[in-house]
Amino acid sequence: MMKDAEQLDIALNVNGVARPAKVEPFLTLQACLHHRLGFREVRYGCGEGVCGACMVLVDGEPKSSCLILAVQAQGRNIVTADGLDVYFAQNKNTVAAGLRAQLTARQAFQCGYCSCGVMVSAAHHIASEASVTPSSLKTALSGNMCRCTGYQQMMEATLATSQREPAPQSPVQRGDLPVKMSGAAGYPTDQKTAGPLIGKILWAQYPSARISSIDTRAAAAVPGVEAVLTHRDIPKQNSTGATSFGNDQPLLAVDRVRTMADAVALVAARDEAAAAEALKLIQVTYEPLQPITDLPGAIEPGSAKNVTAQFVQETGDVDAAFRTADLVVTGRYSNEINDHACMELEGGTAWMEDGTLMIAVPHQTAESGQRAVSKMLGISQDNVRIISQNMGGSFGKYAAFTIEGYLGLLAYHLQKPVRLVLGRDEILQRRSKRHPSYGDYRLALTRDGRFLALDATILTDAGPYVGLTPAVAAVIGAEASASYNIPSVRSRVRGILTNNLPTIPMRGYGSQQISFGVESIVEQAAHKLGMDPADLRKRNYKKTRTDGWGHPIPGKDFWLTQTMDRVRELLGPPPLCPPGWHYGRGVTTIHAKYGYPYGMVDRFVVKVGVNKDGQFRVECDISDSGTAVTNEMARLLAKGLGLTKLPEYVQSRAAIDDPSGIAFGRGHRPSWLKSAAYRTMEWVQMTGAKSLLVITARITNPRNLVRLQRVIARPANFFIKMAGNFKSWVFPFSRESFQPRFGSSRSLSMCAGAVLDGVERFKKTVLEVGAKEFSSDVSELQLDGEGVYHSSDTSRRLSWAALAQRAGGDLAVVGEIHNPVGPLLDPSTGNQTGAVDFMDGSHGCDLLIRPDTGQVRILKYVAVHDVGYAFNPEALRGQILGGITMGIGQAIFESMKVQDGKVLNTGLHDYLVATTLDLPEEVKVEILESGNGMGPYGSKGIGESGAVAAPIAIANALYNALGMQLETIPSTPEKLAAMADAGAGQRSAIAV
Amino acid sequence: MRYTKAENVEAAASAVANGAVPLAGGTILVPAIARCEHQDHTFVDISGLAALTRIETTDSLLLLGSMVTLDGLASAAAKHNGTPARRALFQAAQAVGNPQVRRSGTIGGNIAAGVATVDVYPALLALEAQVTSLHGGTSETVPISELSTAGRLITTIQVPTDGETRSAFRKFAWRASAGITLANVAVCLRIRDAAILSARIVVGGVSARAQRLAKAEQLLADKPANQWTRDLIDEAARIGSMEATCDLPAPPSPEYRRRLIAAGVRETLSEILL
Repeated sequence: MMKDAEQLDIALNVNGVARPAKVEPFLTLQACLHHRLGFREVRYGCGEGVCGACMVLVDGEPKSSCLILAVQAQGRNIVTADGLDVYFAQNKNTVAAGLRAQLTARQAFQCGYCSCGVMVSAAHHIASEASVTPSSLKTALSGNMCRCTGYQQMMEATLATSQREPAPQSPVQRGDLPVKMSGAAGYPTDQKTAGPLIGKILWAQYPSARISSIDTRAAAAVPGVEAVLTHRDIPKQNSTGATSFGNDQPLLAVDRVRTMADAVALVAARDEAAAAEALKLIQVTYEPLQPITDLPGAIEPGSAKNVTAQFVQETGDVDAAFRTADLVVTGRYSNEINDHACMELEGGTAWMEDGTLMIAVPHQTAESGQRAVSKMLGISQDNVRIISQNMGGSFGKYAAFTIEGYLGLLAYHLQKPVRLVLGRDEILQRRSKRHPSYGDYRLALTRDGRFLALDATILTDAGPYVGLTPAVAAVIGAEASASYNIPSVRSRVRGILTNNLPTIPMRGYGSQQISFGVESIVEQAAHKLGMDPADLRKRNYKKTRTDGWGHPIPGKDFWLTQTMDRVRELLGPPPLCPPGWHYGRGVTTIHAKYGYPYGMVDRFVVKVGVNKDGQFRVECDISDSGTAVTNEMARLLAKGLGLTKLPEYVQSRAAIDDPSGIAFGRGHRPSWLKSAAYRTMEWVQMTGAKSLLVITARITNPRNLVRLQRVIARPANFFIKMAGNFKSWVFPFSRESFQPRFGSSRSLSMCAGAVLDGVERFKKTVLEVGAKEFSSDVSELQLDGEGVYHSSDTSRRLSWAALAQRAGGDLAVVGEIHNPVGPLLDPSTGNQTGAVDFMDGSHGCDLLIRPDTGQVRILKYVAVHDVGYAFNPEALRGQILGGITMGIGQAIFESMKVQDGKVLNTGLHDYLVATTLDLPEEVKVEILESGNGMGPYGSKGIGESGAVAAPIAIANALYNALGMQLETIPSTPEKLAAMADAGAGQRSAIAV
Repeated sequence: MRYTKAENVEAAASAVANGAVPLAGGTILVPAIARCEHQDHTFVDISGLAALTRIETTDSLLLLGSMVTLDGLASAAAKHNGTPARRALFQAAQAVGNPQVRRSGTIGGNIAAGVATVDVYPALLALEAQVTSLHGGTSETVPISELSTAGRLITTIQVPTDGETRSAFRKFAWRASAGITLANVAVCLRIRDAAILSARIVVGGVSARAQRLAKAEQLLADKPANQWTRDLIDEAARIGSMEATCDLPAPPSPEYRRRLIAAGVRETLSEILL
């Protein structure tokens, strides 16, 4: 029951200023500082003192403000990250300012959510420790979790600060970092925290059950409760929103729950306690059913029942190759579910603003979220806006629907602001996970180690809804030949419906699953042949780049051999193995896709412009998930035009309003009619493609399916052939955009291309405006960083601001880029997809394992990647380091306890994200630039590759150390210890 | 939920005697309070009571106020190093959680928490600590193994110390920082005239309560220095890991926990004896 919560008056001293507050006794200091007093730098991550995101100095000591009640802080001196500079400066200590400069220059953060807590710990450590050492620093930062960066750069920055080194001169200006490293970041959970109603979700009680009744009357009667909503309250479509492949997941359950992740009802109340009480009082009558949670158990031989995605590919005569091979190795390899464990909780606030439903939630594809909410509520998409410029991590978690539907329904129904932030337990137990999969692999070889054939049969668990499973299944299947030149390959992948949690891509989706299988079977072959595993790989690498159809692209080489050779050089001679430990070295190769492999067109648009004050900006609907993409867009614009000040990045869908850019180019906003027409075209193209896909899903004969898909693709191909890149307002889309833009590992290579295109268009447009002003020809004018001037009379010039004024106050254009259309594969198989381009690299590591406890110590980890072209080498290094750190966890301890479709992990204390103390003792990342990628300057999408390779390199090293091969990742120390017993005596002395 | 701040130790004890829950470092209680799990409880905040934060050493005792933080204990260790008698306690304090949890968490809280995975309590049990608590106005000092915290406010912990005692502690967790204890081992040996006078081996994290490994203790008792061999230690580890009750329902398996116990006994004994 909601009681009139007792309010206590307290007086805090925050950053040297007295801050009175009225608080309930149960309010934590974190909630008080963040929600009530507006110190957004005090961020929530775990609520149990594990992650460090909420750290502040309390009377000079770094503490987790989530472990202190606000009332307990009465009279205490509190310093937040934003107050560190002033606090330390009082003692004539420049540590905080120096640290901030170092962290920024070394690009120590990506999404930035952990940064404020890290600064509190690091500044305190430097100021209080007589001598800061790498080891003391690891301990000092071991309470600050970072999911993006892998900690290396923040430790380097802190160490350099302690040694009073000046910050390095970075060639890259990072406008986004100082913002993320302060309360100004504006993450979704930062929006409108004071005053909104509290939303909560009633989740399914069983992984599979029929619902015979839902009674909300008692819940609605709880004082303080403003709404209890069920499926009956959804105005239009009861759907979380279609993914590219289907629309089968209801927003709120009607008469059936199929997973613990199904929501049954929503509550909004004036406070947490009332909302929690109401949840308890909602009466749902279930008739539990036997859940299907076992992957092989979900399919019947020869039946398509429960198969939601299928990918079959066969090249060469696989069976003949196996008959004639000198050696055949077989293995079964699987990966379990992982959680993305973004540091920011999934959640935000929704409110109405001038008739528009504003929803602040983390989202990697705001466009599709807006569409889903508008369809669910039956309102125009123009009246729904998702705000998600910065988010505290994503890693694929927000690739499809997040909680925008729940929030949108509550706020729209009540026409009031509602805040709904899932608890860490809900995120772990109720939200989508990486696709678990398991596969049987067979590899045929000659005696001298030439690969003849690979046969892989893989099942992947979709959960109960299709989601993005066909794409993941396609990646798994299409990447079966991975880095290798294998004459005959058969891959059969099936996505299976179960009552487990739904699935969503996670960093290296599909690639990690298949790479673990293929690299494991290759490693086993090396052991059987007694060959050096690196040499065996090198002998079989693909040499020439191929397109999605497998056709070689002349002049474009894969740099796999170069990366592997460099990995071996960097690893050097094996270390001494201390008594009581086993030593192992492992290497692996990555050849993993980036870009859309969906056989569809992928198009990015950005708007670049200047206003009458001379302020430049880049606008796009891409969120910053930590890949520095928004900053790089601004930087490329500045570089392209010679600007000294970094333009601002604004997340908006402005560019979609006028895809041609023509109206913007003339300095006008498109009329509402034109803007509506453009949006309609994009909508038709997107939903058109999608509805056709839904129809095609009913066609069971693959040959007919492919025929139909070719028919669908024909108009697109027609436009490509007819229109090419020619654009006019008649042909605003030179190629169709079937997919919403998507913030992910390749957004930089895509957005960069769009900005570069925009820069060229912008230059052309300003020259035209200048020519008109000076009544001269465009050829007589030139541009510099200040604006346009006449080449024969440099005193005749127009500044950017003046140009914008001439164009009606705002001069802007739209730039665009397309990924190549993914291929349609062999008609006999029915596959609709194929990979577009690949990132290449090799990883290696040296590790020790204690056979009695299974405890692992990674001594050295090296990674060498061909990135095509590095826009920002340090940010790129951070991406790879972060992937490696995530991969360490995924190899060994990021394990979820699952029982009958229910996840039992409850928080970051038992879902084990790696900390500084789990890092390898030495890490080296090197970047090679082949210029072979499909992005601008030959760049590639690189953000996922570190995470793909790391668990595999570690697994291979453990194989060499134990003499037994890992069949599952993660393999916890418990499993490893049992393997050590079984493998004793089998340990082979293979040196890499 | 009701919150009161104690003005002094007596007021705090009286509130606790009347059913209030003492709120010390908050590392366990505050997250639960924030989840609205304690709406019907009254909390008495003892975090401001300076009287409970003292650390004193005498010839025979280390006296710790119940509100001494784990970090404070670890810093005190740096100051009082060269006291192998209490090493297990300092090692245990440093093994808890992460830096910020050690700055907030208290020794009293660790004793009163009553959860299986605490680290300091097993060390105190091995070191034969005495705990003084107040029930209202009545003070009582009992061996830590006999302590009942119901209605009582823990005020001080006395750790006996002498030149004959040697101790060591090991914790096993899958993650080095903020790792959940899968098993911990605290060993305390009294050594006189080059022989083990008595041994106390305590295992935590594998059952609801920390337990002594009587058979392994028995094996070590009276062993003279010339028998302090790797074989003896291995035998103690084997016996100890077999006799422990490992009955927590959550993974990892009891078999694996026994491996950890064996490793812990082996490492702690090696640290002291070899």
